[in-house]
Amino acid sequence: MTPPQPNSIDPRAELEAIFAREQGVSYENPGYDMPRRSERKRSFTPHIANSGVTEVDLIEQAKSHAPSHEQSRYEHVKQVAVISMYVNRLRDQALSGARW
Amino acid sequence: MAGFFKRMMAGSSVFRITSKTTRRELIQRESEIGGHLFGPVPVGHHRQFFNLDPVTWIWYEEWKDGKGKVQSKTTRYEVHENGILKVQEGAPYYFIEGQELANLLTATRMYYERVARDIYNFDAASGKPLAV
Repeated sequence: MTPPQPNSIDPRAELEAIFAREQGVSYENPGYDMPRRSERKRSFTPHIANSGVTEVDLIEQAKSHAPSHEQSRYEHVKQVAVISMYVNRLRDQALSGARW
Repeated sequence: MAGFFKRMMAGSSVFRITSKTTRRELIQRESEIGGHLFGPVPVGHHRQFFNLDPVTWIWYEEWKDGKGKVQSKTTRYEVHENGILKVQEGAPYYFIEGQELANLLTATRMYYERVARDIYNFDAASGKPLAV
């Protein structure tokens, strides 16, 4: 599989995109050229965003169907996903003013 | 000397989360910590490594070449249900595996432990807040 190339992957633009969303600017119509994810990523992220299903759930599901020689790789992927979730949880809690 | 102190302060743990702190500021602060996870940054280089959202990690490196022109390279790691997709401009995408995947996992673990402690006052190992 060879996914399409992005228009740009400038991290500063990524940060600008976050800032724009915080200001209420639409993600789909940010008003400037937004760096794009791979097409495949864009296609499934909104689906899970509204379903309550996390990336970790999806990885676990894929892992359950993967051959034995792929189990270790899936486990690593799952751990990265879990850590990503933890980092974002910390951020969300800090922004919401929640105390541990 | 004053300039040196100012720079030190900017990179120190003086950062405080307030009700006006934005997600952007948190990520910016995290990226400063992330950029130093892999040892000293070469003189003249600027490095950032950060988590952008639940499914994206970014590595960014900027430096000046022999002619003084600024060069940069960005790598994005996307978490998909069947692997971590490595995305670099001008290069084919591929799902990382083996040592490369293990290295990324180690980096993300270190990142989480460091930002939890230094920014969010949280002990990742115990899952409890640090004593203030």
